[in-house]
Amino acid sequence: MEQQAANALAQQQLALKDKRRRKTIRFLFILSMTIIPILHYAVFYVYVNLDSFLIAFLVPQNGELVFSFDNFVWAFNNIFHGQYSSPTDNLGLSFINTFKSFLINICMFPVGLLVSYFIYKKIFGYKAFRLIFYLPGLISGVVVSFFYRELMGAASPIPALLGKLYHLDYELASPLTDSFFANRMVFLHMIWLGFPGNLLIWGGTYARIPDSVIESGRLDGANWLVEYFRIIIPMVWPTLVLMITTSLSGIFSAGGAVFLLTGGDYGTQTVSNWIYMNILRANGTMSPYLYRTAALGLILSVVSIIIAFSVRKIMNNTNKDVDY
Amino acid sequence: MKKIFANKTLSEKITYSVVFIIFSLFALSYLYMVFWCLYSGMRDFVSMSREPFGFSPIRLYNYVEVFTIMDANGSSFVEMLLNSLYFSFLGPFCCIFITCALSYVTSMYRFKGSTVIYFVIFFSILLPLYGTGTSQYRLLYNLGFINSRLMLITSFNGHNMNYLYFFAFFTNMSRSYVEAAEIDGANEWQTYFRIILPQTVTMFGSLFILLWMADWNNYGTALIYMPKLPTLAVGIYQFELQTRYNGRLDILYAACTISILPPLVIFILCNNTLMSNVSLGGIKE
Repeated sequence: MEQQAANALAQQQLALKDKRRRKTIRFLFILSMTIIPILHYAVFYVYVNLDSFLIAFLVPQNGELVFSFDNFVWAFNNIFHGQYSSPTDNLGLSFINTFKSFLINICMFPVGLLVSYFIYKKIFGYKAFRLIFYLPGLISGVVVSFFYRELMGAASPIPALLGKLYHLDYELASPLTDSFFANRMVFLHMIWLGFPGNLLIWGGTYARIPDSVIESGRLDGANWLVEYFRIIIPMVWPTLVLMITTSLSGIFSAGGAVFLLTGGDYGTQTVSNWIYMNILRANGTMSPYLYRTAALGLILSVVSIIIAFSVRKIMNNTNKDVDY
Repeated sequence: MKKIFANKTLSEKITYSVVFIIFSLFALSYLYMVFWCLYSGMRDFVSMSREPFGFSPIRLYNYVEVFTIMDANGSSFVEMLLNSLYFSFLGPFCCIFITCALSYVTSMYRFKGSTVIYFVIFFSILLPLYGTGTSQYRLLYNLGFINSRLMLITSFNGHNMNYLYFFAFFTNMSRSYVEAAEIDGANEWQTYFRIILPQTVTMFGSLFILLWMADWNNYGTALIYMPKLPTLAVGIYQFELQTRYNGRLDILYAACTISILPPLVIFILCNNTLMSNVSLGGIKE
């Protein structure tokens, strides 16, 4: 009897030990799979953002960093009363250009959705289009900008054509170096390259729609517009919500290849390019502009967080009950 | 013609025709850009400078001269190529590997923090935080990562859009594989590396290629953090600043062509796989 009890106890202890061993292994496994990304997140995301938050309230004075709201005062002053002619202080103009770029992005978003739709519906030559439309994504922005700049340069017929079209009384060397045309040409570049939209995401998402749903719609007499807006859009709604939210919350990063095409000159500066060029120009030194950049970044982050949450809430409520 | 418009109403025939014309115009413009770059890299620099859109005899020797003449910030073309290969292959591989592991654990294992990790990553992707460049630069400078191959460590992240792709993939995956492996006595690592990871190979490969293409062409961050360790994209940008004065545009475009070729070839070979393997799993069911 005692022997049996001892055996049972031993077995229980063994099972407990095995359970503990399994639990330890499971813990070690989870730890090994998560430790690197968590450390990375802590250092390169949490620390960087906290540090950036602190920097926004610091101002260099007589070789020391002093707590101050001056960076925010500077940012608001320059957003509303910035010197339009200055390459560093033209924040007001940068915001206007950013909003214009954003509007173009918003207009191009449904265009991209439709491009993917027609490719999904196997328009004649769809395989070739799918391949070619991905070219702007395959080629470095640097290379594309060279082509575009040459296309707008004196050796191409475009400057002369624009000169005639707008009855210019001066010789236009390149519309990219002319304050009247530069912004328009940057927007044209955005439209030209942004036409295919996000082929990869939408192609993959449309491909997952069951054929039977589309076929039954067809049998009910749905034309392509009905099929698209009444069947496809509601079915891809979760992806659409995510994509629209990320697009809208990225409002302040909107802008074309300003850095490569004009370097922010000729009235083409955007907010994201302004921030980028300030960091690039600093070249390792902590210029006052870097502290101001952090303050501006903080203001923009707060605004985009509000936009992101509001948009997501509205979008999720809009099409809540559409299921199949 | 009949086959193209099969089962289509008149309005659809008109719509599809108009769309086809618009698509063709955009496609031709993209193709012309690639052709122009390729052809410009084979012209002599005198005629190229005079007439960028003109024609001149083909000169393949430019592609040899790229390797001897091209120089950016003290780095030769071969060095730029090696830098590009190092950062664009290792960086995306580590990133995808780490992201895949993180999403597997958080989607398949219920533990304290798995939901927290998901939501933290989701909101990090959703909310763009601006103006962190200053702090990021300061941190990398203090860590000694600027102009260093240690910059690769910044790629070891799991909080990116790919996390959501993998998460959707693992959520839809049956748990029976894991359970069967457990019964056979496999531990967690064996299950992950021998059973789960091989199943993700197409998705892993697709996301890796996409990230590789993006990193191969990336100039923005590389220009700030690695100006003295230029990748091909940065080197071409820096060389272009020099060629504005010495006029060797032929070499510039030959280098551009070489930089275009790897992503182009890989995309042509893998486009079907790439197109069918990337989705956020966002279909309502």
